[in-house]
Amino acid sequence: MPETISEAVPAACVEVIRQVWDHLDDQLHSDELSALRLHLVECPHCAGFERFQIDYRDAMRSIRPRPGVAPWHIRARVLDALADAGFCP
Amino acid sequence: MAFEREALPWIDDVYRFALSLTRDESDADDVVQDTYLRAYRSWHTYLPGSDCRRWLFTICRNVFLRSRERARPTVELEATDADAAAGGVVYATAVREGLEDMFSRLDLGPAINDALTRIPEPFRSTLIIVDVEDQSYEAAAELLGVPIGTVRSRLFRGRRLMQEQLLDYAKDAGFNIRPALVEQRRNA
Repeated sequence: MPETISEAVPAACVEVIRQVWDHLDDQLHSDELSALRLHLVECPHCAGFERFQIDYRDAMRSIRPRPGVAPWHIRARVLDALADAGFCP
Repeated sequence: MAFEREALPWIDDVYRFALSLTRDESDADDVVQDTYLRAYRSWHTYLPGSDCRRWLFTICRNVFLRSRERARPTVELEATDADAAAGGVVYATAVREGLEDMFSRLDLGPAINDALTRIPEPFRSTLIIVDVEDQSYEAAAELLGVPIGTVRSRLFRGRRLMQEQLLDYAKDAGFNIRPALVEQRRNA
């Protein structure tokens, strides 16, 4: 099992690895983005790394609580607590 | 009243955000109640017409963190950009284990929820806000009260920690054994 970055990641790809998340998080400048996309087309290792991170991100988003109405007792608790604090609608 | 008109309509969103942070309905109930109490008491600090939802989310996040500090001391780890490159080691390990497609192939929802409870602050909140709630760096920085660069470095560390945990889970569950290999062993 690779234990160091140099064992696991080709030297030319270390910076790219760092940039992939900047790209996925919309933090990359346009000129950096162009260079990154070119590298991803040519480098199967980094293209696979990008795919891995995209899939991870989709998996994380999938556990997001669905939008909806808060349970009725939450509203009741909040209004009761506010009333005790002097709130009068 | 302005508080009723501007703050109360966001109770659904605040509840969902609290649930994202706590991963527990009972804890989320407490956080929502405390959030609105604090919001009411500090209503004079709110700028009318500004983003009330974000203002409430900030209070909610602080309430949550205070509750966590009471329950468990915060582990302060210095996150560096080296974690970004270290993410490459996690991926390389996944490839060697035949798990490079684990996020798309497996239902890791329960494992993700469990892993999130083990991620220390401040990385946990940052992961929830950006990776689960899909907020921008700018929104996360405002919610967390830290510079954007800090959000970035916390994400690098947090994502690596999450992926290491999920990789260990997938290996322990035997998901690295491909169906073809299982069949081969059965027929051996």
